[in-house]
Amino acid sequence: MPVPTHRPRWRPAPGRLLTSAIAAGAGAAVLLAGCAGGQSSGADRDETTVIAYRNQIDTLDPARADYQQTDNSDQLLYDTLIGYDKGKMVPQVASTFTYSPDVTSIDLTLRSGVTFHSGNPLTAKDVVYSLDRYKAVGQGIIGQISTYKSSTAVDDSHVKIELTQPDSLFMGALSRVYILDSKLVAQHAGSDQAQSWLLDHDAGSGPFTLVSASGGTYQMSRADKFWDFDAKRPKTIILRRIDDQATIRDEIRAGNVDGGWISYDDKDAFAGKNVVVGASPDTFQMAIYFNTSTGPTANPAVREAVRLAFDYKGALSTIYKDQGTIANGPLPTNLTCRPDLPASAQDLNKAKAVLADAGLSDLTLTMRYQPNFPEHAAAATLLQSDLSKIGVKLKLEPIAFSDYLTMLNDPKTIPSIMLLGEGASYPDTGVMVVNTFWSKKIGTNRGGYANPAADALIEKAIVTPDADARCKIYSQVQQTVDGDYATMPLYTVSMLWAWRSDIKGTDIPSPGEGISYRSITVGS
Amino acid sequence: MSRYVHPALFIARRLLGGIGTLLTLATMVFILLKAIPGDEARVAAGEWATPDQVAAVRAKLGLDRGVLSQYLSFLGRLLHGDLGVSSSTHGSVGSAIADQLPSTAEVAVVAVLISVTVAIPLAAFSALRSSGAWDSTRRVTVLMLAGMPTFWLALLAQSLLSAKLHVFPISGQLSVGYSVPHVTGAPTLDALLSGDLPAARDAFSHVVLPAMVLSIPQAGLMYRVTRSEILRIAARPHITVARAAGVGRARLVRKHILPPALTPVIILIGVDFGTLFSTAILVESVFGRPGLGSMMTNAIRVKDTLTVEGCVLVIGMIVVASSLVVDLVQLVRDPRVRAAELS
Repeated sequence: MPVPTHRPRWRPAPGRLLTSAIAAGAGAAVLLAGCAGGQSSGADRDETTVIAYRNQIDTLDPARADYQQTDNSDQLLYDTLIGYDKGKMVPQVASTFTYSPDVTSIDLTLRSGVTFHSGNPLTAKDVVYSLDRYKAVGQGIIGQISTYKSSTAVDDSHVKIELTQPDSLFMGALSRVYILDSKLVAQHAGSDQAQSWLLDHDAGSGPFTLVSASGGTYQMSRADKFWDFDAKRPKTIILRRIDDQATIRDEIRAGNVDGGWISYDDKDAFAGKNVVVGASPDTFQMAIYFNTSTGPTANPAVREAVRLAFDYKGALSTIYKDQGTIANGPLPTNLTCRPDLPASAQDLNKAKAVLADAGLSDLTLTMRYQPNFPEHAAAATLLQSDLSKIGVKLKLEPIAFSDYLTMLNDPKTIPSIMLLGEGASYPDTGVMVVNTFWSKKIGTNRGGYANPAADALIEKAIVTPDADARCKIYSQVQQTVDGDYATMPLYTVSMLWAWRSDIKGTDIPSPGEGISYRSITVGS
Repeated sequence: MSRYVHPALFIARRLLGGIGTLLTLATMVFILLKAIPGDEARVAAGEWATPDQVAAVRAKLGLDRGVLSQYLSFLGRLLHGDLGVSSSTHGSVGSAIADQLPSTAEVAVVAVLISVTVAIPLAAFSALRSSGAWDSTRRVTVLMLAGMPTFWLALLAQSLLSAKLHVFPISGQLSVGYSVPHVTGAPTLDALLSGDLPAARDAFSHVVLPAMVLSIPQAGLMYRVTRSEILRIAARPHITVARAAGVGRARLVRKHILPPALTPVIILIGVDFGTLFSTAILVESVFGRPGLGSMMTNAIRVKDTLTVEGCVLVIGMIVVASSLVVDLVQLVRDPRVRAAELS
């Protein structure tokens, strides 16, 4: 029998069958699902505030409150000893707090009547237990209180903290140190200091209690016995992980999410909606850190020329839609204790002159940046373009932040030029000055910066208990750093957020405080 | 003369091969993670940790030992079914995967169902009407859809079908107000198990669009393979004989063309099912869903070796298991495979 070489040309009957199959399968699923699409249930949405956050909350364990996502969540569940309000240190669980004259110990008096969500009273023993636990865990927040030596419960409401050396930053750092229910945590301590238990459990005394934690969604309900109870706080807060900013925008527009950080491009996307768009004032500062100890950028002339080449205004406008301020010093523009320095500005002729005077030509530099931030990539490209105008070739190399941290361990491995967005972890100028510019801070000193004059000032500030006196010293350090062209401050950037219009208390009181969800209230 | 192989022996061989594959995979990933720059102890200790604190964390995590020693410890734990403790969360890697996997599995299973339900009938329909202009249009349309980047397609589908037309929820797993008890970790299944049909419907509505987006490249490939197989088989002599003998067209397709044509398609489903678990990150990010993909991405970012290893091993196990299932299905349904494998 001959084998047919043509393709079959009959018209079978399966048309209806196939159509039915598709309709029965995918179609039915779509219809079933679609009927519920975009609808919220009948839950009382006015009493429930849904907040979108980006990036994974690794754990709720306050030992990792050095990580922003954990800190934002723990603010709701836990209390700290002290806090900040508009940049000023204020009492929280500790009603009074004083340094010893030599800044090596702190005396605390605890507020009475504070209870944990378990019903246990918060006493001095809990404070001691928490601090000792952070030391034993040895990771995360302990890095900010590394001078912690020991503490003693003098009685139920008094604690004495001893430090290994004078540390004027310690008290401010307590604003990131959460107090744990020692009885509850001890029950679950196991062999890991309860780290695995605290991952998704609450042992705090904060304004909210944890109801559930699963799949990146954290539901919390208002704690009615909270010492600073406010009935205007929402009955329920849900933290929902949404990484994509376009999704956050659409969910807020649809009314399924009540607040979250939005893209600069979405500033005008909420017109006609019951949503308020605002800018957190100067949240972090974009800056370039030079390796001042080795390589081509060890030459101050190179650093000065690079600083003079960049079009700061153009970059702020193009990348951040003018949501920010041109930098005028090494630290964010709205921190206190800053010297009066001129704003960064482009001057290509002067940049060329600086290079010529130093006898530098055919210069090739390498800059590292984090490619997961589109704004960083854009700024890197703009700098590359600007430097080409003064005859400097800039090579761009992406780097992960974790790799960058490793490189900081040795000044020889610190990148020549590194672009970073940085803010104070709490509203104390000293935290940035000391960690970033003190030569002894290997591992956090961003540029291997070492200037004996700056070191002497920093070491003086550390042992100075008086805040005003410290403030003047910090200002002097910044002048020294700026005079050395150790960094290239670009702009302090405001972040945009969008909130349901009846939600109040969403403003950031001061830099480093971040947004505190505990201050959120609902209704007029 | 060939020797008969008992099916149990066939399965045992396949399982052994799978274990070998997983061990090789685990070793390769371990070596790669150690080779890339970055210090796990530095990241685990925290940004502001002092050198002493970093050293203590390094010792605590066992990172101060040689790479071989670390690898042997890892294998030793693995033999006991212990994936270790995450250096970033300090929780059990196994528990974290158990928390995230069901969400990804839910989307992956629905994606496969959508692919099969849409691609195979459409491919059969297209092959049997392979000469018209409509066929060309269908083919071009399928190719275009299959060629679109999944991430972009997800954004497009979300913007159009969710944000504008409100056909599907925009993101997440459940709407506010619904809660389901945690049984399997897959909200739709958990809601069904608890008898909460409205919650099940709501949870399922959150799965469909991510699954549809994820299924499109797979459905495109499945469509092309099925269509070309049907055309190839339809042109073979025994089909011509059957037609001449008066076998009805529907029966011809159902009994004589489609079954052999589906052989490569079944293999494709098996291979793709495992791949969906790793590509799910593309839709999980856009649709704000938890899952294995986003967990692994985060672990890579913070150089959490054991979590990355755990995720890779679990995805590897899924690939191996789905390949085994495909082999068994083929063994049962195809006498040629039976003849080749068991004798």
